[in-house]
Amino acid sequence: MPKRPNILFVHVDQMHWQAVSAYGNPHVRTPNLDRMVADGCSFRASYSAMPQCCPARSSWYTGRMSSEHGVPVNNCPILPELPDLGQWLRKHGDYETVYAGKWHIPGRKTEQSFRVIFGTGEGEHADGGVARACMGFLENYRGSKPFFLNAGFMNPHDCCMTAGARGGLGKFRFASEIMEQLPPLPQNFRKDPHYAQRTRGWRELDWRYYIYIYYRWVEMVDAEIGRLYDALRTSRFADNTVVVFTADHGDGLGFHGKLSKGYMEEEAWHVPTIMIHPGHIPTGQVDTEHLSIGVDITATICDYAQVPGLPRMTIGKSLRPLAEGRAVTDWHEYVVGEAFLGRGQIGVRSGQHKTIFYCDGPVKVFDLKADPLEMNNLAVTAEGQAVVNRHREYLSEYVGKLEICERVSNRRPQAYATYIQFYRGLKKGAKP
Amino acid sequence: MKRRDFLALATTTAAALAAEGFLPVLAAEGTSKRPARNGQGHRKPGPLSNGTNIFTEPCAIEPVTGYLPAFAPIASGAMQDGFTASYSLIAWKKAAAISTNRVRGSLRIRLAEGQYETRETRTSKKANTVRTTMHCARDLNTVKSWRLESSIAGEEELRFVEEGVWDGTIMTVKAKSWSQQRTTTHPLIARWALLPLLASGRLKNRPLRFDMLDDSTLRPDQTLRYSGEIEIPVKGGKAKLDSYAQAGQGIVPTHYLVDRDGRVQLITMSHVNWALSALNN
Repeated sequence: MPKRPNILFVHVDQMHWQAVSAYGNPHVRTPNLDRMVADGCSFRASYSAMPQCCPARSSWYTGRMSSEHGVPVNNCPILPELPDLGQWLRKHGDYETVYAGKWHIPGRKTEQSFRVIFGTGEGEHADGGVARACMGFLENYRGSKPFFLNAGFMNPHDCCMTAGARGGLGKFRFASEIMEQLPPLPQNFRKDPHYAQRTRGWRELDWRYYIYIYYRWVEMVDAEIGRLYDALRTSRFADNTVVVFTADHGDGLGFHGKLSKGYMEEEAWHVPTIMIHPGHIPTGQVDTEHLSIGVDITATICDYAQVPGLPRMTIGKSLRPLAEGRAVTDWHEYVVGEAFLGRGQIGVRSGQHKTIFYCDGPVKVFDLKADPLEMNNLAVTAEGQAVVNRHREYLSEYVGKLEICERVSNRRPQAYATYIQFYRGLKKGAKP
Repeated sequence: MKRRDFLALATTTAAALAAEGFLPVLAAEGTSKRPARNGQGHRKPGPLSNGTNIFTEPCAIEPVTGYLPAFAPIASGAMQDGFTASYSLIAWKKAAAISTNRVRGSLRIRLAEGQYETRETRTSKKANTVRTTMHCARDLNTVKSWRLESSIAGEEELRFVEEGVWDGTIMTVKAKSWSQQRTTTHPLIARWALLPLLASGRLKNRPLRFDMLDDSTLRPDQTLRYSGEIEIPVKGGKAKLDSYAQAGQGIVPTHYLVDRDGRVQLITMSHVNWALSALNN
C-alpha cells in the first residue's frame, strides 16, 4: 500500500462561489485562493449538501445527507452512533487527526474526534489564530503518523453579524465615503419589501455596502488561508499533503435581493471547491462539467486516506479521479441538495437545468446555461415541465438511496416533519 | 463609577435615546421625535439605516457603544516618540439597544528609538498570543524588519517564530519550516506603527496610501484619511475626537479616534476593536 498522504482540509463559512478573483470577480481580490486555483483543480459546479452551517458540516464529516444525519437545520443534534471523519481516519487509517477553528456540529464535541489545537470559529477575532495554530502544528509536528489537519475558518460569515446597535447597520454609513469603491448590485437584484426584517428599509447604498464589506471579509480570510497554504507549500510536508478547500454554503450577496443562506438558488447553494496535490493533481485545472455535492468531500478524503467509506455513505463519490485527470464513467448525472428551513425545499441540478421543489408544492425551474442568474422561471413552459418530470425521477432515485433519519429531536421538530412527510409522500408515488 | 459620573452619563444617554425615540414610552407612541440633522432632513423612525439610531452617526463608534459608558479616555502621555500604550480588545458580541461588548484580549505597544515591541493576546477557547519586535524607518514608520512569535496557551508545540524583512518592494517571511514572499506596491507600514503618524497630525491634511503589515500578512492598498471631528459619549460625559478612517483590501473599514493631544483613544473595526487603557512615556 502506498504511503498515506497528509490531508489538509480548509473550510470557510458562507462563501459565495464566485467570491474568488481567479473566477473573474473584479470586486474582490483573493491572491491566495487564486494561487490555490492555479496550483490544483477547481471544481466550479460544486454544491453544498444543505446550505446552512450545521447540516452542511455534519454532511462533510459523516458522508450523510441532511435528512440522514439528524441535523436537518442548525442546532439539531447529530445522531450519536454515526462515526465522523476524525474518528474514522483515526481508526482505519491511523491518522493524527487535528482540528482548529469552527466545528459547529451539535451533539458532537470536536474533542471526541480530533486533537483540538485552537478555539472556535470567530472570524475577525480568531481566524488569524486558526491559521497560526495550524502553522504552529506544521512547524513542530514530528509524529510518524500521517495527519488530517482541519482548518475551520469562520469568515466571511461575519457578514451575518453587522456590528451595530439595535440591529442597526454598524458602519454602513461609511458607504458614503467610499462610494466609488462600492460594487454594483447584482443584475438579478430585486427589492422585496417583505424580505428579511434585517434588510427592510435598506437603500441601494446599504445593499452595495453589504457587498463591499462582504468582499473585505473574504479578503481577510484569504490572507489567513494564504499564510497557512504557504507554510504548507514550503514545508517538508508539501509534496505529500493533499489540500481540500471548500465552503459550507454561499451567501445571498444581494442576488435575488437576498442575504444569507438556507435556500437553493445558486448564491446560497453553490460553493467553491479546490483540490491540490503536487505531482498528482495537474495544476491549473478547471472543471465546470462535473457536478459535485458536499458529501463528495467525505468520499474524497476517505479515498486519499485509503480507508473505506463511512457507513451507509450512498451518495458521495470521490473527486480524486476527476482531479487527477483519470477517466470516470459513473459520475453524478445530477446532484440533490436539501434545505429544511421554513417550508422546505429540495434542489435538483443536472447538466443544464435546476429544479427547486418546495415541500409545500410549487416548483421553480431554471436553465442555468441560458439563465445563470435564475431570472426566468420555466415552470409553466413545456421545456420546464419536461425538466421537472426528469428531475422528479432523479429525486425518487435519490430518496431510494437515503436512510432517512426519523428520530426527531425536540429542537426544531418541524424541520424533521418537513422532510419526513415530503419523502414519505415521494416514496408512495406522490408528485412533488 | 462615581455617582455624579453615573448621573451625567445616564442623563446623556437617556436624553440621546429619548431624542431617538428609543425609550419605551416614546417608542410606543410610534412617532419620531428626532430633529433634522446635518441638512439631511427628517427621516422615518426605525432601527435600520433609514432609522433613528443615535449611534449610527458617527458610525465610527457603532461597534463599541456598549463599552463607551465605561470608557474613560486617557488624559496624559503622548504617542509620538517613546511610549508604552496598552489597549483592551473590545469584542462586539451582538446588537441590542446598544452593542453588546466585552473585553476579550489585550495589546501592549512599546515604541523606543525606531523599534516597536508588541504583545497581543486574544482569548478564545485557547488564548493566542502574538509578540512582535519590529524595526522601522524614521520617515513614515515603514517596516524594515520584524520578528514574530506566536504561541497558543497550553500548546507549547504550536509555538513558532517568523522573521521578516521588507526591501522596499518584496516582503519576505521565514520560519524554521517555511518561507513566504509578497510583493508590495506602496510603503509597508504595520498597523500599530500608524499610531505615531496619527498622533503627529501629519495625516490631517494629506491622506496616506500604504500597504499594511498585519501580523505577517499583507493587506495591500490601504488609504487612511482624516474624516473630521466627532463627539462621542464616554464615561461621565462626551469627548471630542478627530476621526481618521482607513479602508482597503483585506480589512474592514477602520476608524482611529484621536484626541487633541494625539492619543489614539479608540480603534474600531467591526467585531474587534481597541480601547486605550494606559499610556506611559
